[in-house]
Amino acid sequence: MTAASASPDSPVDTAEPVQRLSREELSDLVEIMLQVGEAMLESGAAALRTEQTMAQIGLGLGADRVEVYVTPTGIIATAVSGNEQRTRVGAAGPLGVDMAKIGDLNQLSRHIALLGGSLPAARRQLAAIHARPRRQPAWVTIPAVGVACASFAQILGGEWIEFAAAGVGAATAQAVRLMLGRLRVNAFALTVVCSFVAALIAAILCQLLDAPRPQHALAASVLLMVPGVPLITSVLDFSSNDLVSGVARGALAFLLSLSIGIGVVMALWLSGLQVLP
Amino acid sequence: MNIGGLLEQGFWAFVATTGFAVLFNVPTRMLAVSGFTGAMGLMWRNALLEAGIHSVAATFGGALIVGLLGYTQARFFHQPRLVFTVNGIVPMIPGVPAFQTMVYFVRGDINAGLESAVVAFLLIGAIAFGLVTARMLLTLGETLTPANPRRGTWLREHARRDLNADSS
Repeated sequence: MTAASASPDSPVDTAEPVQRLSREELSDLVEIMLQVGEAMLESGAAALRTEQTMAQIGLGLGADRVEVYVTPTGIIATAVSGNEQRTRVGAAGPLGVDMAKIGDLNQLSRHIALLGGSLPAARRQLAAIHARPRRQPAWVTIPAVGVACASFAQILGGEWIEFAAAGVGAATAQAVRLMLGRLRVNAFALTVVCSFVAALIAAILCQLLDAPRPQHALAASVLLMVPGVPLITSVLDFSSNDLVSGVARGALAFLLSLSIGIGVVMALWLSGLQVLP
Repeated sequence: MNIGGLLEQGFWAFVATTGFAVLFNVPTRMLAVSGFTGAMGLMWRNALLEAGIHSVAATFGGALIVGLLGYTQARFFHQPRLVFTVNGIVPMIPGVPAFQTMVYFVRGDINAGLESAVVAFLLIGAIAFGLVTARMLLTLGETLTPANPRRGTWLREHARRDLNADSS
């Protein structure tokens, strides 16, 4: 905690000189707010969290009043200073998950809210956050996801054969996902293809190694495609009364789960594996 | 299940959660912390199951633990809550019921498929409501502060006060 927050009940604004932003500065400010909001949404943040972050940045940079409406694919933001006001609309997407970026943006908004900041400095800091490489490089995710999904086979009640089958299937699927992601393939098509690859490899390995419980290996191998973040964020949005965001994210999660189902069914059909009595 | 079995499940949950944390690009120092949250959630759920509690209620209990633990960690480590909560519930995802649903539907066994689908849906709902309940418990006083009189509108006078209330 810094000194600025040591006296929560003291009047804040009376001591500060009133500074009005010009029309151009206000336009810049809304632009920065929109960039932050879009980055938050694309990293998987909930609507309330996105709105809070945008508002803290807008007010910290000198606006008197900020109005924000956030949906998963678009943001409407207005900033008011004196008699001037500017409104902009921004589009976000495709939706992904990047928790380190959410943390960085939150830190930026806290800094700006506590210490204030100039528009060029904020723009520079934002560019630095965008330019930062992933904390966990893309190639590391391939073995990590393999081991994680293999552990799921153990949690679900499998043995070492299922462990190996699920791990190899999931790691291959993650490699395919990274490849297709670079080509900017549609998210639903990507999910179908990756779950197909994961399930097919797991099924073939189970057949070759004669696994006693292949359903555990197959179920675990496609877990890397489960849309966990939209699913949970959807409910959190509902609980904070963001019905539009909640419904949209819920529908997205449902369709992605359906895509997993399509991929697995195709793999089962192709491999001819007999699962479940 | 004895203590050994519980710890073994906890170990696998730790590995699984950490792996997913890598996928979600969690900062390196937080990987083990979110793994610990996931392990605690699954171990609590299994302990409750072992005590004879219905699986939906047990999953709710596990998710509640993940939520309470995750929000505490988020304040302690100054990270977004999402880092710990979303990763922590990963080991409880009902993979097998969801998988059974697909297989039974493809096979034409609609009754068995529907049964698995309902189980999967209830378990996912239990996870979500466990997290939401934890959030409601921990933010009980914050929702009605004057800092945020109306959603969508943020005034400068309220900004500092709001910042003091929100310490995560």
